[in-house]
Amino acid sequence: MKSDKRKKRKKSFPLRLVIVLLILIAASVLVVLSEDILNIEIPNPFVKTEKTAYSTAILRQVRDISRLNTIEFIYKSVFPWDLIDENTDWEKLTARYQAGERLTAREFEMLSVLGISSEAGINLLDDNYSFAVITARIKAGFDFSGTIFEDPESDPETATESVIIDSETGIIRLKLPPAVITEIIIEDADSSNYEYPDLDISPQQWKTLTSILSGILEAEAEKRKITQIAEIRGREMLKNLLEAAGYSEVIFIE
Amino acid sequence: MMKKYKVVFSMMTVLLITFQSCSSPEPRTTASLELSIRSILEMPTCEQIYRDIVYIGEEQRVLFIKTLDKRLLFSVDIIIQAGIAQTDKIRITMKDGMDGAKAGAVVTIPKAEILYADADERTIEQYFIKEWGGEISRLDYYDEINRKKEELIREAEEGGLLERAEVNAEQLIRNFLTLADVDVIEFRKAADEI
Repeated sequence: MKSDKRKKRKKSFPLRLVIVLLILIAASVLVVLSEDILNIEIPNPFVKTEKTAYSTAILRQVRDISRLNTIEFIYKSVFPWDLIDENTDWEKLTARYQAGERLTAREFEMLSVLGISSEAGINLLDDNYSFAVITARIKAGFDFSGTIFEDPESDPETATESVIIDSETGIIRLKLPPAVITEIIIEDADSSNYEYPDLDISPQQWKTLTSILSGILEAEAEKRKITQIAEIRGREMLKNLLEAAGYSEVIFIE
Repeated sequence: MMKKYKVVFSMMTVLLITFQSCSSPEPRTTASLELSIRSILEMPTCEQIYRDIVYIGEEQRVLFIKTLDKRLLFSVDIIIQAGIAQTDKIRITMKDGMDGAKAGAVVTIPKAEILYADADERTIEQYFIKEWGGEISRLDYYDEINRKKEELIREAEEGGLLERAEVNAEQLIRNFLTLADVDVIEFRKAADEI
């Protein structure tokens, strides 16, 4: 009888051990879930982390500007994939560069992107899945800074040539400065709304990257003729204002 | 006995499946580019430019042994721009002058507001960077820049940026109308009209 009981106890021991282990695993899973769902950080007594983030700003300049923006071109770009030409033979390009061959401006840009991508941990020569999504805004319209519209007294002769009024017919002829790209804004990333994986890149590398991207975006905006669209919209707005001021017709002269 | 082992096996399977679902999600990838052209009518008339000097540091030790040491110091200009955001709400009403005087314009314009606050990447100056045991990422320093931006917007507003932007906008419109031989009698804020 006693030996039977001992045998039963021996057989039930591994089962009890397994059940205890399963309970511990379940408890660990609950702890992990609590961290994720309830955003509770369970401190690790063996690891000590110290983070510092500090900045101080001084007012450098107050600048008066005179612009009328009438159109905005919003572009979302994926770095580095949007900056590179699809069929680039990277090995051939780097070999040509190392051999001292003459490269085009575009090829130098591509090598810069290759270099920055590599430093950012994205090796374009191998399969890689790192990227950064960048949103840029390009605004276009009129910049009246330094013109008679900012200061009518600055150049009376130009004022006379740029604004011609026919009081009898109520027609005004107006010469505006050409529409231009007035702002290129690379939106600042924010961890509260940037949901993609972060990119390891220094501020200096980021500066180079955004400089290349700005040039590309400006060219893209000009290709889409946004300055022409901006000019049409701006003229329309000014025409409405002058007609409200009593003019029967507003003619824009080149 | 077999029944007990079946129960244990089922529990283990359930737990394994639970663990699988606890693993980190796959990173998202973009499906397509977004590209849009948006009509706006805004009149920027004033900017304040701040020089922001940023320091980021992170150190980690495991049982007194240093495993991570990241430090970064750089500066960047932050631009706070103000002006009239909805220029299409500018209204001109002509009023007859007194005693046969020339008619003048009453101009209604919206209040000035902050048009944008943004770090100008062209002005980044990196003084030093140390990456030992890990790399500094973009959001590490952009979160600090964004935090500072909120502070600078408040400072700019308290310093009179919006009032200056309004004065500049009124002057620009007045210049325009003066060149068109239209006298401006009065400027009103769009809210005053309600």
